[in-house]
Amino acid sequence: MFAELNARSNFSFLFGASHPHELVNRAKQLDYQAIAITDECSLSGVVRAYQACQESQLKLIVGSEFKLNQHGSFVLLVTSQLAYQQLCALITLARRRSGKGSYSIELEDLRIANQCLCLWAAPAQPSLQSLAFIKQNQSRCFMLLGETLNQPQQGLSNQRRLAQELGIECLASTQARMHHASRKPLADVLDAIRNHTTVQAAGQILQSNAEQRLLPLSTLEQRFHPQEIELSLKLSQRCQFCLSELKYQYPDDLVPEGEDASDYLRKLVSEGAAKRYPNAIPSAVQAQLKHELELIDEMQYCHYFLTIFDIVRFAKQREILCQGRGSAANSVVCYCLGITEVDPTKVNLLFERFISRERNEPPDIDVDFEHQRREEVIQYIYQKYGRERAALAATIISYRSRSALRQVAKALAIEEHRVVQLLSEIDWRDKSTSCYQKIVASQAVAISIRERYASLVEQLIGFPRHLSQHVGGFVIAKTSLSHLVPVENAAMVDRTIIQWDKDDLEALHLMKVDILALGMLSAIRRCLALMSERDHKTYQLSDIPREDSKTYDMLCEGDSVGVFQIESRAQINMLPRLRPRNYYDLVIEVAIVRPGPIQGDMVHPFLRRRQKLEAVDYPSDSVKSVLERTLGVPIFQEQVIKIAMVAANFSGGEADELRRAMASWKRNGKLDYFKHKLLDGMLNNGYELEFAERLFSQIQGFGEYGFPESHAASFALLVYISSWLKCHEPAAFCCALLNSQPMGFYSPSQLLQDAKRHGVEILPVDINYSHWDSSLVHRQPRGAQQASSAIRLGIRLVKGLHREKFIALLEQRPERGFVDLELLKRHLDATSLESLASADALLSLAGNRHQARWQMAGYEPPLVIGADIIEQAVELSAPKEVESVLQDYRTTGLSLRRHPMAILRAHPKLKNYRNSQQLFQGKHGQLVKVAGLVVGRQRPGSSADVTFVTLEDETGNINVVVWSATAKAQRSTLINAKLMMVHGVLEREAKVIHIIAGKLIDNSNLLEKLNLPSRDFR
Amino acid sequence: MSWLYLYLCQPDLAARCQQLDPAVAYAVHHDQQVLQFNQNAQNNGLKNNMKLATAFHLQPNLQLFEQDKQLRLEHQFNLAQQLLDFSPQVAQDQEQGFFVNLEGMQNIYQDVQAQQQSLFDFCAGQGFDFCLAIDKTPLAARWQARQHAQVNQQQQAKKPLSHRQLHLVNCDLEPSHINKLAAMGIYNLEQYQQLPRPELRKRLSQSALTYMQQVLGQLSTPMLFVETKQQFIRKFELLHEISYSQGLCFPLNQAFEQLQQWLIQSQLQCSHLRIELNAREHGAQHIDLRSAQAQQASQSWHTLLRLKLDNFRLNQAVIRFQVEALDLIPVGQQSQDLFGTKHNSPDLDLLDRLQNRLGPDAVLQLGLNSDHRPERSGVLQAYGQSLTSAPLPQFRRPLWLLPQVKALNIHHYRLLSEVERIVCAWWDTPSVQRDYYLAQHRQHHGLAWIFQELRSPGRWFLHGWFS
Repeated sequence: MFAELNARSNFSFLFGASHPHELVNRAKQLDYQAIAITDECSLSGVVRAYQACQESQLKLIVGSEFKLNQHGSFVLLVTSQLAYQQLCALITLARRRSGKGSYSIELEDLRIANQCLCLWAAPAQPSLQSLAFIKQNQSRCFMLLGETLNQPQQGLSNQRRLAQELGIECLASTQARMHHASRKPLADVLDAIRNHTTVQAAGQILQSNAEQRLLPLSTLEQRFHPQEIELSLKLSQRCQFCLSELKYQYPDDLVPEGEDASDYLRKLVSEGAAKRYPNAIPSAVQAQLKHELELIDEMQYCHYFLTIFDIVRFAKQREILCQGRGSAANSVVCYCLGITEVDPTKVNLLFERFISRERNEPPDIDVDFEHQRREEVIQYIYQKYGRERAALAATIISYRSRSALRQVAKALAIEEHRVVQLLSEIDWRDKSTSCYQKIVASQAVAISIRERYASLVEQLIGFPRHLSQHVGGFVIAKTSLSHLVPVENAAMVDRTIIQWDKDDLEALHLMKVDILALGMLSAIRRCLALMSERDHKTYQLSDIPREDSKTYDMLCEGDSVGVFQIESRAQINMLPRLRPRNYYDLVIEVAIVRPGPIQGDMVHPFLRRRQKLEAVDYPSDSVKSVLERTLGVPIFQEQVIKIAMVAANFSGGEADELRRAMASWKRNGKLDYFKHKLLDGMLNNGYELEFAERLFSQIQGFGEYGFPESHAASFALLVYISSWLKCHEPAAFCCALLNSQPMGFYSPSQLLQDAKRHGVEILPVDINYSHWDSSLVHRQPRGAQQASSAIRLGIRLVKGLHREKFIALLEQRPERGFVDLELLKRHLDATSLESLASADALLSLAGNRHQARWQMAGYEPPLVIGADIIEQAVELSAPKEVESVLQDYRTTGLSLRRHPMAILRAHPKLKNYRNSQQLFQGKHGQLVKVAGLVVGRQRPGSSADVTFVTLEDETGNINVVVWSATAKAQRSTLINAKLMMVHGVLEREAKVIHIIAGKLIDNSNLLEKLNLPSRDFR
Repeated sequence: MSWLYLYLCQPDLAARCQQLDPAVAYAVHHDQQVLQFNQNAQNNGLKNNMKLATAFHLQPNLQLFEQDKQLRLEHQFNLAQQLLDFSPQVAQDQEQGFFVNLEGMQNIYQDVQAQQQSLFDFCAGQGFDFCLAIDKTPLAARWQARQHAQVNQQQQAKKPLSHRQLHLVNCDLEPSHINKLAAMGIYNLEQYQQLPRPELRKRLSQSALTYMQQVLGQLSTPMLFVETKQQFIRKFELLHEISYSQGLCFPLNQAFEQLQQWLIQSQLQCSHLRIELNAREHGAQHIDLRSAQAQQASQSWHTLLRLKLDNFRLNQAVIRFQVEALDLIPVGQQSQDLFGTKHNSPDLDLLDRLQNRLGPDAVLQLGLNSDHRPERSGVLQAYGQSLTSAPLPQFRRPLWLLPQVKALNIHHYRLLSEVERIVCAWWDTPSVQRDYYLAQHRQHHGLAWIFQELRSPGRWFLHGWFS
């Protein structure tokens, strides 16, 4: 019998060559009694090991290894909860002293963990301090012996002798870094990567054999003394700590003195409900509230909800727009607390999707904040709870296919261009073959090494590389976090992360809150502020009228550039087909244009039923109750869960497992088990096999990309608000979008062109009139019946300028503007002046941009104060229109002059070519010629055979569909063209127009030096 | 004055063009970008500075070469030497082309056009892409050539472009100055000339103004002209044929004396002589004399020759020979170690004698290699190479390692040590999977280093002897 007490997993980054579960499973196979996962200064892998040990019923011992240079290595094993806390504190101390990814530890620091067992791997010549340390801690120190058959026996004998002198016992260990010898090549590759070399050149950096692995007992008995092996068992029995003992306590700071958390929460909910339902709280809501609060009490989640409430309250006090999303939107309690904005009575939601007894998982509330102000919220959390009690969750950055390909190639000295060639040959969307098969099928890599290379790449995929910070997942604790889990420095200044990711937290029932950023919230708030400033009154979200038909009219036309979530090409094409007329239609619109419904073949059936081209029928009333709101087609995850429950008798827990399996079936194939259960259950309940199989195939199509209804409902609110603002306040909305960049799907240039098409006047950047941000200018031209707003572009749009310099300058701008360049020259450096001149922002001061550049370039400070420098006058001609347009794009990324296509329209090469507006006069099936600037190329994963190209001309956008055969035959033009001419067939369905490309012509030479970026999406 | 500029459109490809098949699409790359490519590749849509991944999408069978600066320099050096046939004043222009002064060759060429045509014919025969242009100053000629290459893709500019046609983007002003001028609407040389100089000086740098003055001929352009490569290749006819090797001593000695004189005059030394011996019938034999230190004295070569000829047999009677001096270095450029070893140290003399007597491959030195495989852990290197070093293994290693392992009968041996397991080098041949032991031969008690092959247990081999 044996227990391995020093096993390192791949969470000893770039060292361990096996996953934690592989080590556990192998240990079980070899009949070990226990295994200690002791990664270097880390507990990142222990939760995974814990889960594997629970499945295998093998005892897990928690520990960590520390390398102390001349003092040797020390492995600390946790014996009790106190020992665990000490170990976490020690790791935190060592990590916090150093930059991200490293640690710094002294021998004396080990005393912090005085309740842990200490295993010492002594160096050949141990230091006096280490000997002293061992003597002082004799009762808990042991000599760690590792026989790896690459050192002389006297080495081991010396260690035994030393142990005897020190009065400590010797412990047998494999010091495993891999679970099986077959991982030796991967271990060599990791060593090469870690040392920035190749396996061929690494020489003796690599280990000479594969003996640092889990070994059979018979082998161990040959290499160690019986008492050394027996000691491993004795020590494992002294380690009685289990991760399940970790009791996570949520902070209770927020409960007023003398009050109970549950009562306080109920009080807040009651107050909130009164605000949400001012007339009377519906009885259904009351019942739901009662049900939810009881469950919250039972599961002891009160403090969690209070914490989120407090954060949201802070944001609202600071007028930071925020909104909960995800499964939290299923909760009436969250709605009444103001955490979410979806009224659950208006949508059919499922609270059990959020919290249920069966799942026994902590709630997970995601809250979106304005992206430009999220940092204020983060700092609030740090200030309120302190850095000891609050930290971000980690994200484990693992090797993906491409990075694994590159790294292994480097380690094997495969030339980089061969890797590039290999990558260009592989079609990643082809899921029918594995990565191994793809590499072996390619000719890019020499045949002598191809299979080995492919095998190593496949092993490396999924290996952790390092920890990074989660986007916004905070863990907040009642006491110091480092008692629960080690904390280390993130890459960002003043950021700390725990060593566990969200999956680890979920496995241990620890709660986190996601503080996320959403650009559209910033844009909406800015828009409301602009409106408020204009009208001298305060506008809030609640002032926006709901269910405005004009807004829906706009959406039905596919006029949604700039609108949240529904502005992409696919969404714009869907809108005239789906024709949303109410809020719930928007909920469906958000969810339906996703790979899940598309691959599950739900889209067309839904549209046909909506357009009354197909009858809607339900096999039973119970199914009808679930699918009625989506015309019999499952679109949301919750519907799938519900159907499994009502039609196939799944319990709530089983239904939830089905949901999880849906999310990951392509990786682990677990859905097959549920297929039989679902089909059998439905058949037993009298459903037709065809219906059952069709339903299952739709479930498969969901894969990872199906939307929960609650999530879609949260987003649909913002869709409606942003649509209303675009429809009724186009100038303010566009201005707000400009000031909230970067965000959204479109560039500022495209947003402005859209605004112009909606009649918004755009005024150029001018040093005498512009602010740093874009602003609204209110005008009422003579004779006009009402005032209108124009957008004055802000100085921030000029590339290369810095805000701080300009804020100071603009504060000194006289009311009537600058009259000469002197004040500018005093505040700004030459580069900034030249940037302004190039952007034509000095028109009112210095004339055309050539003249302005000439003046700015010649600026010299006066030698004597007041002395005038007299220059010979130079008159430079104004740039031609084309040059101006080019300069506009180069300096600001947009132009208010004629669109380049409008300038080129008169060129003989473009004779008989239609613009985007003229296409509406065409007929379906007609041959047409179009031309435009390529502003987007997209090959969606759900449509592997087609590339969508978006061309922009002076009147709008043209959607071109390029099928794979056309793409292959004209690959160069498809990839290279900046100005593309297309001969093709017009396809038309109501207002949705596509051009099916036949011939592609690259006429980029007409543009000369135009440097418009094209956003290529995969 | 008339200056010609030979512009190499793709200098890296030019260095390789002789070896490459134009029917194949190929390109030179660096830092994940395509730098230069042939016509075939261009036809498939490749563009300058295109990412390699995009290039492979357009041309999956693209043949790639890493940019090789050394190769390019060698090619251009040789090209410069050949251009000296057309003009005594040729200057190499960084890595882009050559300036050629067309003056002073009227005795050979009737006029400048004929001279240019000859150059054109020569360049066309080399197989690379180029452009020739003429102007009054070298920098103007370069500008012309670049502009022609960009605009007209002609290989020979028939007529110089006017100042209005010369675009600033093709000149050698710094990009920041070119951009600055373009931003002011100044795009060509004619517009530039209209601007007042004092105001220009404020906006550009003095070096920019100086450059333009050189282009316009207002200032001269300093040049570093190429010098003819120095070489010693002499042929000697024998008065009568020589059939035995020792008979070559006297005539070769004469040749060495000529060499000595030439070396002294040229202030050079030499460390390698190649002697080609020609017979009446086809075929030649070669003798290489190498010295560890560069020499001038004929006596030194004579001594080395005698040692060499001791082991050298003539296949046929020799009627003429050629002596070529290689590895020429200037006098005084002998490398010295930290302690200033003298050039004529006895060690080096001994080394010379051994290498020339036995052959350079026979004199080796031992270095350590960082490799777990015993057959790779020590390496014999040619004398003169810097020794590699590596940490010594913990286990003992035998002094005498057999060049080939020998199968043995394990029963003849007694194992004396613990096992050292070596399992490594899976990426190479040979990979190793062995358990090594110190063992003693039961009969003669020699201490051996033996191993068991793990891939076929029960098979034992002898790898070396401790004693």
